[in-house]
Amino acid sequence: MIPPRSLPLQMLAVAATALALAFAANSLHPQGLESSRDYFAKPQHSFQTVTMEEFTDFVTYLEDEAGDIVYLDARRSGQYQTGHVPGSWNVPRNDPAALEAALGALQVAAYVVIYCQGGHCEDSIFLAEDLVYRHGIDFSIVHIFEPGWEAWQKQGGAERAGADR
Amino acid sequence: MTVSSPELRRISPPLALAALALGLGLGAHGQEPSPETSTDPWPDTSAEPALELLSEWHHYGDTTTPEWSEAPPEPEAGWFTLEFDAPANVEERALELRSAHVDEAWIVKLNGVALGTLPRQQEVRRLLLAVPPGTLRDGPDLLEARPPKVGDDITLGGLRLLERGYREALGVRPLAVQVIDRATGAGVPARLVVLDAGGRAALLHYPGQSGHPTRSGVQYTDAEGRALPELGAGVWTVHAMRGTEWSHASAVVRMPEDSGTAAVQLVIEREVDTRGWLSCDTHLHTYTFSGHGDATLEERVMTLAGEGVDVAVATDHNHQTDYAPTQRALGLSAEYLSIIGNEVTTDLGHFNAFPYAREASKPNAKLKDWGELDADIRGHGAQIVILNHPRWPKPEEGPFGIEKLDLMSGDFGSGLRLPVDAIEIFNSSEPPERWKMVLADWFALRNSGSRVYGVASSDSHTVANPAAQGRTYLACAEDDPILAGEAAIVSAFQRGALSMSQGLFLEITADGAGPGEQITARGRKVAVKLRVAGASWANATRADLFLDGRRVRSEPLFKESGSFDHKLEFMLELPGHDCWLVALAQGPAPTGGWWTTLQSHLAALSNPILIDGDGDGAWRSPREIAAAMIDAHALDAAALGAALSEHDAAVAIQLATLWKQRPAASASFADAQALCAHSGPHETMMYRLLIEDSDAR
Repeated sequence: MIPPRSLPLQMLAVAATALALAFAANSLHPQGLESSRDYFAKPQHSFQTVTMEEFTDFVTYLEDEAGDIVYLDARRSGQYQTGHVPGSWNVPRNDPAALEAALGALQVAAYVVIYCQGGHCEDSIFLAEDLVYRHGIDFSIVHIFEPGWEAWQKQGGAERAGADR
Repeated sequence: MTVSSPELRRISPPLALAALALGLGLGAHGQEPSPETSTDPWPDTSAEPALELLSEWHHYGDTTTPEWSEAPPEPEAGWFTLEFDAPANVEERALELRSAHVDEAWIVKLNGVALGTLPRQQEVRRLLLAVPPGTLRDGPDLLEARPPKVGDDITLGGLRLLERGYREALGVRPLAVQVIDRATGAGVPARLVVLDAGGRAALLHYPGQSGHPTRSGVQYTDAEGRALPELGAGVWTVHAMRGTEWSHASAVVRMPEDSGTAAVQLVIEREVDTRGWLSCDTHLHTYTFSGHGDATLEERVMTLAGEGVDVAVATDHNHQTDYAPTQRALGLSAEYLSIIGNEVTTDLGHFNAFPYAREASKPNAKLKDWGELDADIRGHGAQIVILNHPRWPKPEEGPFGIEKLDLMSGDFGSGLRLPVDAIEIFNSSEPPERWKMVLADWFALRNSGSRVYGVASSDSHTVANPAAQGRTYLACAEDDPILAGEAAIVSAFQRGALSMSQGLFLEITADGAGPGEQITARGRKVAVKLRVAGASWANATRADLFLDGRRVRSEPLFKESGSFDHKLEFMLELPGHDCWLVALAQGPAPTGGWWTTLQSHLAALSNPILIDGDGDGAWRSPREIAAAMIDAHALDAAALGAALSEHDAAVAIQLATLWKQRPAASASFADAQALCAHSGPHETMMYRLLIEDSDAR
């Protein structure tokens, strides 16, 4: 075979060959990726969820009877500082110190509601799993607010900036 | 701002930013002190005839402060003194002054007579102080303002001695208040809160001179329930209360425009039945011996009577204070039992230690080893040692943060073995909800095998911050604290027969045993009796039961109106192994300016009841249970997992802790997988703790 003369064509040929080899290897490998599966879909979970309406009720209730409901904001610290549900704790993923600071409040809470950014954000699920399966928090009190911060902000929900706790 | 100068345009952007920041900083430093606030409660006295004593602003302290433009940057002296001549006063007069940047309790004295303290504010504050008859003398008079110790820098100015008396200039006069116990019809010591028509704390005059502990909006009565708050004309609401167990009463009072006085009687009653328990505040300070705060020894003794507490442990910083002589002098000996203690204030933490004999020498607060310190504290006579506010001043800066307490295992990263009898969980002077963090600490410690108990206290340093708002109820067969005596109090703390309170009262038994006691369960259930009570101003909305620090039952509580006394009885299922049981009740804090608190909730928490669940007559902690399981199944991970499946999560966490501490060679990865796979309900948790965490490392 006569090799392509131009550099772009050579690069294209190398890439096409590599891609073909990769597909072949994946199809032969017993743990290869499944072409029909959506690997970027939000993972499934078995935690209870709260709707926007319930979340709104909870926020109102939180202000009246502080302590029964604990809100956990699973987003990064910078996002929390910009705006968060009033009274919520910021417990970013992989921040054990932040989780330990909130642990006592979680142990005596009647409800725990966790949110993250919304959309395909998974941090609220990972945090919920940590609470239940690492710290023994009662599964039945842990709830996830799936619409997340973006939806809450879009509907004009109460928010506060800066450090809250 | 647009930069148009060619010279300026040549400055590089970082340099320009630095210059801008410097300029802003210098600009800020050059500001005048903040103007007097619109909340200045004093009448306009600018037209009053007066002797000008110090018209310019002056700086006192020990630090150069170029940012305070109103006074020279260099301090003139560590404190203020001024000699002047004024005729001796037969009638009362008034001293006016202005101060700013005040952090400490600067006491103003004229010829040795204390007139009052400077307001602790950064902003400029005007202050009027009464000069009692006979204070001024013929010849030179000496006016001074001193901090507890040199180091607080302040500015002072605008000193004037008014011709008119304080009372005349301000139009104030006493309101005669009598607080009555409904049950006896006799006067009873109480705390008064006086609010103006807008619900704000009233300016109460003659603090420190009335014979009653008096601060903004607050005054305590004498032993007979009498008080004389001094008020100006207007409509005021006077509230009376007497701590956790008593009702609250209030009345609206109109002080006439003329010089007439008024009188009001307020009737309160004991609403919470605490028979079998004595209330105790283990953490109390005086300005006299702690050197900060503002409650003098006499004021502290009176405030304790007004809060209706049974036992008061005096715990000034590194000082053993005896309230008893002052109680006798004020006729308050029968109100409560006082115990001499000491808040041993060290680099390791603050420790409340008691009881001490009157003549006992002080422990060495400079020791830096936990064991040596504990031994020294006890060597001077203390039988109880409590670690105070373990997460103060900040969670990571308190003793538990510094010693790196691990909330999973309950072990300290530093290797510390906590030698104290108890830790302070409720401290009503701490930030709201800090107690929940200490509660998590306590649960972890108890599961790791520590026998440390929990206590509640106020840590009150001032008159306004209520003493005994946080209080520990201790089980005692004798309901009179004086008759019960010190030995019974110490015994209750040693046994852990304690229930913590922050406005609520909680009592729990399991098969008839209370906190600090051990029972052997007959089968897989125990009969629990839970009682949550509160005064009419209080409310409890929920009670929770915890086994091994995990909530196992939650009961909503409702009250109709008035005081409440919820009594719940039920059979509680047990895990089938030894465990410990505590109860927690919570409710919202009362609203209204009369309730002074830093806390967002009312709460009550019991100490543990130890349940011998396997019926072998001994009680073992989750750590000890886990250790015994490993000993029994050391070579068979699958059998260990199967045994674990019969235990609760606290034991699982302890087992994971011990497993990870084993020598690596003694357990393979396959063993860990077998342990997880056979641990039944704990499989996911064990997988995370043993497999995922290992992968992460």
